[in-house]
Amino acid sequence: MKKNIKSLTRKEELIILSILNLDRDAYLIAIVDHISKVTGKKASVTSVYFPLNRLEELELIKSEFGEATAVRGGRRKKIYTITQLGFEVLDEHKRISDLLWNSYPEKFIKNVEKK
Amino acid sequence: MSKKSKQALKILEGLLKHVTPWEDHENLAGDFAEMFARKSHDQGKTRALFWYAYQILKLMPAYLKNYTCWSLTMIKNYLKIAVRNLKKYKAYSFINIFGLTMGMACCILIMLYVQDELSYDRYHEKADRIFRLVDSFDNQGELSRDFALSSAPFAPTLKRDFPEVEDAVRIFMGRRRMVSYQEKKFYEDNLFFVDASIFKIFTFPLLKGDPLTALQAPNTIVISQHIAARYFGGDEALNKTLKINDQDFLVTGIMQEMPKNSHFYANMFASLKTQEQIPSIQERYFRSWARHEFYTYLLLQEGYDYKKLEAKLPGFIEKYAAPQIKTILGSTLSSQLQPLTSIHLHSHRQMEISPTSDIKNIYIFSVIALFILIIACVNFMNLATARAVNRSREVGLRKVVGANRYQLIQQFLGEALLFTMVAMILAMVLVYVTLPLFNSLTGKSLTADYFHNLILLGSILVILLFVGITSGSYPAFVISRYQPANVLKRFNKVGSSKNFLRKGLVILQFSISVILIISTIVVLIQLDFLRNKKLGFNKEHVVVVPIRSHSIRKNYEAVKAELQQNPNIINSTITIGVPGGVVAGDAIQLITKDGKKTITLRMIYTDHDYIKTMGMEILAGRDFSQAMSTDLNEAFIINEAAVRQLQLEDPLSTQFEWGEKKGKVIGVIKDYQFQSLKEEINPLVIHIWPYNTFVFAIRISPENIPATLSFIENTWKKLDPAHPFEYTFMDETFDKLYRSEEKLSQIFSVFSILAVFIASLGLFGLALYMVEQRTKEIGIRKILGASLGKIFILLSKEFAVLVLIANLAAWPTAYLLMRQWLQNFAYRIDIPAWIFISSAGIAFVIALLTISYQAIKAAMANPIDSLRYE
Repeated sequence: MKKNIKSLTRKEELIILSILNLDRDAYLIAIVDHISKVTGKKASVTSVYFPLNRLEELELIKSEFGEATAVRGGRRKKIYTITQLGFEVLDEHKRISDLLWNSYPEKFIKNVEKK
Repeated sequence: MSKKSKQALKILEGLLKHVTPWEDHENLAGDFAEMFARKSHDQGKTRALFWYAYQILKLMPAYLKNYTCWSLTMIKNYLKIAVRNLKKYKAYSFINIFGLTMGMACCILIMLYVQDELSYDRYHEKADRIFRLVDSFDNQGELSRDFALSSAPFAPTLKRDFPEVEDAVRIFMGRRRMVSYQEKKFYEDNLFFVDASIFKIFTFPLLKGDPLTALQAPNTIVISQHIAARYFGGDEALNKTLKINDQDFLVTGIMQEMPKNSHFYANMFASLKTQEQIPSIQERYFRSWARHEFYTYLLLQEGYDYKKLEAKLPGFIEKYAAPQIKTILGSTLSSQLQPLTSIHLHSHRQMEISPTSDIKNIYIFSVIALFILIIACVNFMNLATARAVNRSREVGLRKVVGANRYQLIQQFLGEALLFTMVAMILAMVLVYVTLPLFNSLTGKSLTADYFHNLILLGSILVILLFVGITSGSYPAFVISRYQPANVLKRFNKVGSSKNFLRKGLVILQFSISVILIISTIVVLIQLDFLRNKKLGFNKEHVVVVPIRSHSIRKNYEAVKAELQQNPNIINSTITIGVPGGVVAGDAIQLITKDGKKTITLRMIYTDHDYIKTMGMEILAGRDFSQAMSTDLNEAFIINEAAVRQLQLEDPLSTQFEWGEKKGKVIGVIKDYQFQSLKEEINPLVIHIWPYNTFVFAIRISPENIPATLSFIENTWKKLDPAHPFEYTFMDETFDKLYRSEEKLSQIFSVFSILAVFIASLGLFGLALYMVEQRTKEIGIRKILGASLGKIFILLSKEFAVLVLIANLAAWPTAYLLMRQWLQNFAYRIDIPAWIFISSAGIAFVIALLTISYQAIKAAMANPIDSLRYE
């Protein structure tokens, strides 16, 4: 069993997976939009900003400056990408999640689908 | 709308910039701008603005955490550097902190003193409505006098005639009395006879008894806790009977001990009714407008301006008092009102209820405190600027690493405040330790109760900030302006250009020190002059015994005969008082060609031997003599001042009439000092009248004084067994007149020595620095052949010039100040020139001594060491 690996919170999982999905355009607003779209609930900017900073501090993601646009008042974007360590943590997270989800009984899934 | 919202957006963006970490700011602002654009499109500008503001609000906690975190880190760094500096430059740190500690301790002590002086009589609930009625006599320009007293009918009549006078009380002091309870007998000085209204006017809380009725009846008395304990021990004192002289008094109340900050101190109040009910006394004292024996206090209505009442007084006096006073005393009277709270510091009248203080002393002390504080601050500034050179490298480096000016100012001011704070804590401890000493010096009982004395605590904080900011401001604002490139490249040059400021500050310090030195010397010389001035009588070896029993007064001839049996008793006399005590004035008729003229003169009632016993000098005529039977009833002796003031052409033929007595002047004595030398000698008349006498004065020979004293005591006990024997020496009583000046001079000396000490401490630090800076120069000079003396002169020269300039600046100031002070004395010295020279000398010597240690050390050092010191 791997030790000392960071376990992700739901929010962090959402953020990292959003970055993964957004590929090369993962900046703060895009992440917020993506999370809102996926969950169907409005996410606020600050509720993403702080976990994002924390993930960067933990070196699970890294950032670089992207292009500037007019609507941003000529300010550059900060584009996030996932680091090697990030992927490792994500893998671990998926492994644990899969283990748990595999034992999820079929009939419950059906119930969920019916809804 | 759009313009407004744009403005609002700008403000919000500015705010955002402030609360986000700088490395994160750009993208976050961009993100917010993008979001804002979208929101304003979807929901309108206003809501978008609110959203923006809300986001900033949400960022606040993180920002605050971040900010404090970094500030703490920097403070830690500042502290570390401060402590390192403190340790590295031990001498500087010591001088700084020690100087500041002393300065602030002096300041706190003086503040306590001033606070106490200003607090007099303010504890009365109605203090702002209480006024004392005082009288001035005008005797056609001569012998005019301001008295603290007034006559008895004023209080009740004023209360009756003017509704604005809510209440009035009379206080009658009288003399020392013997109080007894069963076997316990003591002399009491602080017993006053007062009207019953005293407790309604003043705030003297009663622990037992009813304040409204306590002193209504005759022969009642209210005593303080201590007095109760003294006479009754632990027993209940209320309703017991105390004997005063031979009268019985019923204790009707126990009062709290009177606060020390009162302009008079009483521990027993007896009812004035006791005296008033006696018909003869009532006639003589209570009905007479001319007998000034009472202290009168009025309670005015709330919000009433006492000046208005004062304006009505002349009419009042005209109506009631003037005729009587004119016929009896031959003078006119005017009355004034004094606010209660101003009496202690502003009233300097004859016959004050107890000695008052002077507002001038408060000014003097405050100025000294300020001086000392300035000197200590200057030390700090000087050493800080001197060391600015060393610190400039640090400043340069900090700037390079990214510190802004604001942060540097913060750092240096903070450092100064830290130093000051340490010094302040030490000063508070020092004050606590030295307070008993200070109390014995000032005769007060001050306490340094820092946590209950809010004014003191507040002032301490103010001083702390004042000292911290003034002494930290120069390094903070000037050093922080240094350009990093300059200081790092050629740091040795920076700071030396500011020498003139440092020199100016040294001059300021030494000017203040010289002023204090000169003032101290002048005060000491003046007091010495007063003490040694020819008094006109011989104050040594005179024993003064108060007369307690009437039988002694009646049989005074026999007492004298009894005393004369001892060969060590040279002379003795019965009299109203001896020099140094109070001498009352009385009206007397001067008989001239044009008829009788009533005048008021100081008068001494005595017997034949007064002049002999006191050792006074007769200038013309003769002394009283037993051989001349007419002397008893027809002889007067006057002093020179009387001859001068009454313009007597032939004093020995002058005729006087005093009551039944009628006679002529038989002698003129040389002026002698019967009062304090602060005052001029008043005209005086001496005549034989043994009935109105209070003391026996006995001149004894200097040999075997204890035996003589015990002989007097035994004789006295035989003649007056009822009263405990008491005596004083006349010289002691006389010297008491100068006690307040003596105290002033002591305090003055102590503080000026401290000031000079702190100033030289600063000079020492500065010299230390100068020598350090010039180590290389001195080394090279030595190699080139400079002698030790030359190097010493080189180093001392600069300071010597500063001290000289300081002297020149200080002399005129000190001269003017001291001339002002000397105006207080009727007999004063001229300020001699040598004081200025010698104070300059003292300043030079102190400066040279402080510098010389460093200079000699530097001059003696081996050039090899000094040249490779880097």
